[in-house]
Formats: sequence, structure tokens, C-alpha cells
Amino acid sequence: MRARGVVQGVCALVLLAASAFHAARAEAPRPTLPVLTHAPANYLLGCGGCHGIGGMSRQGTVPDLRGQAGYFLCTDSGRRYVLRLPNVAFANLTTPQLTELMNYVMFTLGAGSAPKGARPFTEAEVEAARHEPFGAVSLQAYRADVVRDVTTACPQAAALTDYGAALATREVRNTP
Amino acid sequence: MAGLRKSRWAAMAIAAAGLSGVSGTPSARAAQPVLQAEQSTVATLPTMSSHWFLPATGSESYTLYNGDTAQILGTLPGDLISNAAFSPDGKTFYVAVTMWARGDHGPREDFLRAYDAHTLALVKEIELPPRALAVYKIQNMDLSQDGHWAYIFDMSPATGITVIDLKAGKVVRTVDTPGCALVFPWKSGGLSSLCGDGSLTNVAVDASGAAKVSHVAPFFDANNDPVFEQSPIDRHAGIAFFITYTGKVFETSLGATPTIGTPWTLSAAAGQPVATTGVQDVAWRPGGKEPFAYQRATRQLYALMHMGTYWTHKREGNEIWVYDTTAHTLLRRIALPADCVGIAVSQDQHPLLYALTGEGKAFVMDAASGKVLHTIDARIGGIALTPDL
Ligand code: HEC
Repeated sequence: MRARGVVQGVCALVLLAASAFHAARAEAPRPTLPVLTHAPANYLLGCGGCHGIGGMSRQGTVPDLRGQAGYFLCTDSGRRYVLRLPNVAFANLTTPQLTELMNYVMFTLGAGSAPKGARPFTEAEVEAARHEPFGAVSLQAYRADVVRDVTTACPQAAALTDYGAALATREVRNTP
Repeated sequence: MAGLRKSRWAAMAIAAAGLSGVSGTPSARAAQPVLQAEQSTVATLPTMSSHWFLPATGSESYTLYNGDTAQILGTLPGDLISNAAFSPDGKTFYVAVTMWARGDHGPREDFLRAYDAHTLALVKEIELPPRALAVYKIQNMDLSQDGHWAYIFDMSPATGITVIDLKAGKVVRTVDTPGCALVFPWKSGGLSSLCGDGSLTNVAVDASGAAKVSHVAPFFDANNDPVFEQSPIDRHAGIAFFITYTGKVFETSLGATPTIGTPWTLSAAAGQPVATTGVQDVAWRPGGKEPFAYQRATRQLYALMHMGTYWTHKREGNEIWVYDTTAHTLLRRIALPADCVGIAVSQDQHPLLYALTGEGKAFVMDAASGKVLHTIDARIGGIALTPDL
């Protein structure tokens, strides 16, 4: 099935290329198609389904990342929190790929939110944190603690509390 | 659509019969016997039998069959994304449902319905937090063996478990299970969930409904040879058989600190070349929508098998292989009359085996001989539940 999908995809590309070639001779040259670099491509494949292709999804259901993700770089606990999230730590990516992806999420997708002078993630930092994914904890309570510290350090991050508040209305007595 | 059309045909057939009755000649009418007015009664079901089975039918219901006679006993409403379960005492059916006020949008409601297994009357509805929605995923919901608790998997998309007190008829709590999914109940006192790093999260639930979560180290390779979400369990013993796509079986005694056995392999136990993760490695492999069933009385594992490469774990099977789970040996191979997507087995000493095609049929077989006793052709879906009394 997969193989067939790929073959069909390739056929479609060949057709596209052929018609583009045909068109190019008849009309003015077309602009080239955008090529995604690794981090945005990995984001789309592994994260965009939940977080939305532009880092905004259904509010209150999945936290926004656009213009917001970098706030977590305000504190050490915030830095570690985002790397220990299961969807991040378990990503089927190498540590260099995941590091590049997380820096893209913090600084490009989250543009404007990282505090001045925030350090990008290093591979060593990502490698260490992804081996300690959240397991036997109430993630809702843990996030609330992290967000309290982050908003104390960076008051402009107040919007981070919205997701936790929305989640609390759905869950029942979710305490550690 | 097909269902609507069919019932309209039935209504038309009845109208035609009525018309021809009226148009009879006077003399023919005089010869007719005087008809007695019908007394309508409400039928009730006998005590639940191990030989009942409950396949999903069409896309809006589950239908209860007597496996011995292949006759219909009743119907329960439940669509593709609901979850059904028998209470361990056989007295109640539970169906978890999700609805939107305007069909496919609008305010959402999730609730657990309880039906009396004797009258099929709806006796209770318990409000739920948003549960995970997946087409026919039996492992989304299960009950504790004492019938006190229901455990429902949530994915909002943050993952967690809703614990429901069935006696009190209310949700007692949500438990976060970060990165972990589905419900594999213990013999008593809790459940485990499968995690995306190849480990298990274990949720102990005490008599008051308080929960305590523990975690084990990864034991399977979630990226390269994951276990089936449809891995079968022995509810009475609290044992799960976590089976990977290549057929490695991890017999696991579930609990706060689970014991995970050394794996054995379906292909090797059958004297076949060991199935690998090779995309060109054609070998016997398990596959389907509900590819396994465990028979508690005989400790036998039933696996729906096909020949294929790695990543064909959803393909239909043309044989059922039956294993002794103590000796790790193949006992028999049952050739199916048609390719099937799901299997189920009854839990008594003389088990019936059910095999479901992807096209609406169910074969009811003698599990010991593989002899087909009945073929039911009635829009049967790819999964069926059997009571574990
Ligand atoms: C299954 C849905 C899902 C996928 C896939 C997913 N996430 Fe998330 N993400 C969530 C949810 C839900 C949260 C809130 C915390 C929690 O409960 O996990 C979250 C939280 C986050 C946060 C912290 C934001 C906050 O406000 O708490 C970051 C950063 C993040 N995800 C990045 C990613 C990246 C990068 C990927 C891809 C590698 C990814 N996520 C994939 C659902 C998802």
C-alpha cells in the first residue's frame, strides 16, 4: 500500500514536471515550488496534525505554539518541560534532527516569544531530556507549576495559562 | 444508506401484501378463518451464555447472537466510534458513546450507557469527559473483574484514563498517562496502558477510586517492531499477550510492577522461518482489525495469519493458528472459508470460534476442530465481543 502510494506520488510528480516543462516552453517560466527544509518538514509530519500547520490549532484543546512556544525558555524548568513531553521525546527523529526541530519551534514558529538572549537547545541537552520523558506524573499539574514559574519570570507569557484552564474544565479531579 | 434502502424495500413488500389481501374476491374472503387479534408482549432474554457473541453490525449497531443457533437475540445501538463491554457477571451491557448536537458538529456529549442484559432496557447514562475516538478499538474501554470500575482511554489529545465508579454511577477521576494509550485491565486493582517509547504505564486504582501511577522500562521497539494495540488479555488472570507486528509474544503479568516474560515468536513456534522487519521478507504474520483471541479455559492463543511482508499487519488472514501458550507450540492451523479481518472465541470448556470477513459475514466454528457450524451473512463488522463469565 505504502509502496503504491509512493509510486503514485512519483507518477504524479512526473506528470507535473512534464506539464510544467510543456508549459514552460509555451509560456513564461513558472516560479519554482517551495522546498521545505528539515525542521519545518519534520514539524509538519510529526507535530502539525495536533498543533496545526502554522502552530495554531483548536484553542483550549492543543496549546498554541505560534508566537508562544519560546516563552518556555524563560526558565530552566520550562526548557526541560518541552523536551520531556512524550510527543517530543518519543519523536522518531535523531537527536540532531530533534534539536533542530525544537529550535525551529522555539525561535521561528514561536517568533517573538523567546526572551532576549535565550540560548538555543544543544544536542546534549535534548539527548539528556528525551531519556527522561514524563511518565508517572500528572502532566496537567506539572505544566501548571512550570507555567506559574514562567509567567512570574516573563509576565508577557500570561496566555500560556489558557490551555491549562481549558483542560481543567474537561478533566475530573486530576491531581497527582 | 444501504440500510435505509433495505428497510424501505421491506416496508414496500409489506404494503404490497396488504393490498393483495384486500383485492380478494368475496367468496374467497368468506372462506378465510377469523383471525385472532395479536397480543403483543415484550420478550426477555435468558441468562447470558458463554456462546453468545456481539459483533458490530452495519455502522450503527451491535447485534447479539446465540452462537449455537446463529439466531439474533437483540440489538444494541452503537456506532463505529462507540465501545461496548459485557459486565463480568453477565447482567449488564455497557456502551460508551459520543455525540454532537448537530450530528457532525456542535456541542459534544460523551456518556456511558448501561443496558439490562435481560430486557435490553437502557437503565443508566453516566456523563463522561471527552473519551478517545477510534473506529472499533475494543481496547479503548474495559471493566474491572469485580464489575466496580470502568476504565476509559481519553485522548483530548492529552492522554489519560477516566475512572468510572459503576456502582455509584459516576466518574471519580481522570488520571494522566503522558504518552501512553489504551486499557489493559489487571486481575484486580487497576490497569496498564501501552506507551510510545515501548513501555507500560500502570495505574493502580484503590477501593476509594484513588489512583497511583507507576512506569516500567521500555521492553519493545515502538518505532521498528511495535506491539499490536489489539493484543489479547486474560481478564481473570490479569495477563496480557503483547504481540509485535513480526509476531513476538511478550506474556505480561499486569500489575503495579508487571512481569514481562521472555518473548517467543509465532512463526518460530510453528516451525516456520522467523518473520523479520524486512519490507521484502514474505513470511507468515499476524494481521487484521482484531487479529487475536485468547481462550482462557484451554490457555490457547488464536492468531489470524497471512503471508506477507513487514507492515502488512492490517491485512486479512486466510488461516487461524492456535497456540499452546504454556509450551509455546503450534497446536493446529485452521484454514478459513474466506479471508477474514477479525476473530473472537468463547470462554467456556467447549469453545466456539468466530471469524469475521471484511464483507459482512461471520463463520461460527467449533474451535477444537475448525468445522464451520454456521455462516451468518448480515452486515457483520470486523470485530466481535464475547462474554467472559
Ligand atoms: C497527539 C497530539 C500532539 C502531537 C502529535 C504533538 N503534540 Fe505537542 N502538545 C500536545 C498537547 C496536548 C500538549 C499539552 C501538554 C500535554 O498534555 O502533552 C502539547 C504541548 C507541546 C508543547 C508545550 C506547549 C505548552 O503550552 O504546553 C510544545 C513545545 C510541543 N507540544 C511541541 C510539539 C512538537 C515539536 C511536536 C512534534 C515533534 C508535538 N508537539 C507533537 C499535543 C501534541
